[in-house]
Amino acid sequence: MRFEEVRFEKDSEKAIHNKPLQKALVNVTDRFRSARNKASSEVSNWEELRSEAREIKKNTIENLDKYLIMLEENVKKAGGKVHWAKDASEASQIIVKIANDRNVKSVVKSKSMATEEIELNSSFEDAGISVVETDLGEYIIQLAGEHPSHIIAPAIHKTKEDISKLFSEKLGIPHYDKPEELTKVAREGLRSEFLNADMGVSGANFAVAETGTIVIVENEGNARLTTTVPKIHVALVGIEKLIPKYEDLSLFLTVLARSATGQKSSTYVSFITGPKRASDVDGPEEFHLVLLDNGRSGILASEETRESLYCIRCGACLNNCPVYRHVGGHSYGWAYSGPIGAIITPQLMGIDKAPELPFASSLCGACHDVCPVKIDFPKVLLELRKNVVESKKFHIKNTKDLIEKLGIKFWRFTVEYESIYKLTNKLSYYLQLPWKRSNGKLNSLPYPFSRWTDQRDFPAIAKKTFRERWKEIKHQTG
Amino acid sequence: MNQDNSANPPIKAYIFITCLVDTFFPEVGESMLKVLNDLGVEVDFIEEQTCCGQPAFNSGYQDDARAVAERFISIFEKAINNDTNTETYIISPSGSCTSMVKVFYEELFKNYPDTLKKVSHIKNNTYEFSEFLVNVLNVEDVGAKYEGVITYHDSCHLLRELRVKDGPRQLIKSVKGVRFKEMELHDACCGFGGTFSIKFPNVSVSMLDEKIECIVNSGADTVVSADMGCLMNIGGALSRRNIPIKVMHLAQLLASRG
Amino acid sequence: MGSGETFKERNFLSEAEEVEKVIDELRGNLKIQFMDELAKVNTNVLETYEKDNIKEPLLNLIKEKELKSFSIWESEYLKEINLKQQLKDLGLKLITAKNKNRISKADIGITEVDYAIADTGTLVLLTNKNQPRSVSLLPPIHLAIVKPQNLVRNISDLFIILKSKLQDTEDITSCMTFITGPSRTADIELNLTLGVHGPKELYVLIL
Repeated sequence: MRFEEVRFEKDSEKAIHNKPLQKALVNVTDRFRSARNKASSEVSNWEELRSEAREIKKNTIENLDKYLIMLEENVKKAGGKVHWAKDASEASQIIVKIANDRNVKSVVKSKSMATEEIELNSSFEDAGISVVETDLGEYIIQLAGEHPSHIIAPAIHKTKEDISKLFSEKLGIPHYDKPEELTKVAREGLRSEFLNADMGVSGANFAVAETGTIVIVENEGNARLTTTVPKIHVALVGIEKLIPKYEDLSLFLTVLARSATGQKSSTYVSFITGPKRASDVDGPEEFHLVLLDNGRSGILASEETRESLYCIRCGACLNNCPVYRHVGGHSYGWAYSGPIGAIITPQLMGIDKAPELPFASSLCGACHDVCPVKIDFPKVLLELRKNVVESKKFHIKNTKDLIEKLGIKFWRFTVEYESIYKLTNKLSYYLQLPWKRSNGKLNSLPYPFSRWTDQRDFPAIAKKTFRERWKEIKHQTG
Repeated sequence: MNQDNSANPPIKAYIFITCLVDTFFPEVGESMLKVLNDLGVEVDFIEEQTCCGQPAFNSGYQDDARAVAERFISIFEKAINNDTNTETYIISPSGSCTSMVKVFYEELFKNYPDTLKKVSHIKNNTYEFSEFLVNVLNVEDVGAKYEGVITYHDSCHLLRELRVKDGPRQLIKSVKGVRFKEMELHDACCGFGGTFSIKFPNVSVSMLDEKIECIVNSGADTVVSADMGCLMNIGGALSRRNIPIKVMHLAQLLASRG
Repeated sequence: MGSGETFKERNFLSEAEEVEKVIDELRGNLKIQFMDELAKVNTNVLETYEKDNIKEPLLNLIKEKELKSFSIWESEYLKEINLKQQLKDLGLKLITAKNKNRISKADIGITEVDYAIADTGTLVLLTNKNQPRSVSLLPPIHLAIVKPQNLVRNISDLFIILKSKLQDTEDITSCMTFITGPSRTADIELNLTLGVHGPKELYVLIL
């Protein structure tokens, strides 16, 4: 699926009126949220673990160049090859070239947000190479031609009826009712893909600098198959996935599973260091690590927003976000959604492609409370809002922005001078009278406040403001 | 804790009224005044105050926010400096505006060391109203009376920036005649978020709808919160839909005498 | 605690010795905790009724699942008890891991474990010339034999021990796998379904 632009207001409007989607969103966020709460409360030093995880990520990101070099050395030592991709198109080119050089005709893929980000599947298709998503959720959305709508459960916006219909249309099979039957279809259909594929492409949750190990966390087993059966294994990994030491994995694996799904451990974790050894019986003969920048070094350079790179892609922020709960993943317009999407999409794609996103939040802070690496989302969002405003400073694109700018200037004028403040309040009191209803509130106001009064009453300005009452009270008591 | 009205009270509170309460809900300010007076706190109000600058800060207009915030800071700093009382506080009936001073001013002025000094001076003396009652005056029962079933909405900044959760509940439960019912999703955002409510009104109202449902399902006849931003959002929906649940700021509840 | 940089260099050798001492003392309790955790993640636990006699539970499994073919590790304990030959003698067909299509059709894959994590019910498998990856992955049933001395308390213990071994040798396995229960998904409406791509059933035989 090719990225176009983020249309948050339009897409969220659609989502809000989509009743089955609303039901699915409440279901998924409630379930994941309570699972995470239970799993984290079982760990007595959970808050310490969060702080420690943040510290390690902070240190890693601040010394990223050093650790990347260490990683490259160690992957090579283990017999793997390392490629550096500046941006999405370079990454796709590198991977397609690896495939073409080896006459690869078919590829199996395990779940990787980074490959969604670079739209790798489109590049494979353009090159005439068949690619199959093997993660069940990704398989479903691949058939449907959609982006994932949740970081952990990509097809959660689809009902089992949707999926049944989709399978029977695209795979030419009868309608199946039960999830077990649908899962069986995927298992049997995909098993031959694994066995016949020339190349397996995966992502990774972590990359350990001191050993050259990539770590993949999953429940289905498709990542194990993808990285074991085909002769060539290519792993696309964002440069921010690094952690320095092998033993750091103990901490990160503990907080990842509990934060993501509430499991103590996901079903499978694969720790892959290079291709098969000469004496190994099975395993890929070639291992390629493609390290992806694609705007991450830009985020790295910004001190105020650098912590956006600490993310370990657990999805807890999505599950606790009241906005995500009501609008779902597709409203965020790209591979990443929820609070993490709101902060990295504008930074990776450019603020001009997603100027709404930093504002698509009420700044409630629930995400910050559950993030295992304590990313301060509200702080980063506020910084990005400043950047959006600054980018529009000298070219106002539309009337909406103009009205907002004038509004802020007017507000500033009224609050910088007490006399103007009082005068404005008094004037507004009289101006509002025609709109004042019998319940004492205003039920209709001109733009932009109509956006409030369309669905809610607005309070009326008081006849006597507090400061006027204060004066009276002081006068009375002498 | 000397709460004797007759002698010169050792505690003085400057009211940081907030532009929202000043303009739209002055009765909340009056309630706060009453409760503080009854507890023996000397209260004063600096008339030059207007706004703390949060609307501009949240909208990304940080230069404008700084200009307004500097004015706020110098007004209140001057008052605290000139005051001979050793225990001087700045008290606000809003978790959101209090957070602006206590948490976000440091962010806003991080490159302005002179102003930062003034900020650290006033922020340690700045409290949200319920925080002040429970943590400074060590009071939970202010002698209030109210017959009703109350549910409490945790406003986001108060809960997550100022970490105030139990205090308001203790204050509510100590009111004679009150039956307290905790609602589902009591700590979920109501959808206000300042300008968020008009930037993305449909998302805002979708969140608000769920909050209203939880309030109604709790069986309460009154919803209480410590932020008028939230309450004007919640109240605006209740009145538009003709749902007869009363909306009250915590200060108004604590000022009621039955 | 500071950043990774300011940690004192840890002495993993001595930490590992400490950890192993503690584990030794807790061994019995760890086994019980491990079995509890296995049950929570849909893993079938087979116990031996006589000390280390695995014949009976194995025979029952073969009968119950009508197993006709198997693939197996050539690892130390399994070689010691010559399990491969025992199974062949029972009429089961041996399938090599060298051929991915053939091993995919084996009824069961049998392995040992290098470690077992008690507090999560996790099996830890290292890859080497005697321990192919496919055996625990391609057949629809995976049977893992766990010895009490494989047990560690938690993931932190495990990494201390692994790191201490790593500091000794330059060699690291091409693939270490943690296995906690049979394969699963909740991708369809969050309904839990077992047996997606990895083994549908996991059996653990504890000595």
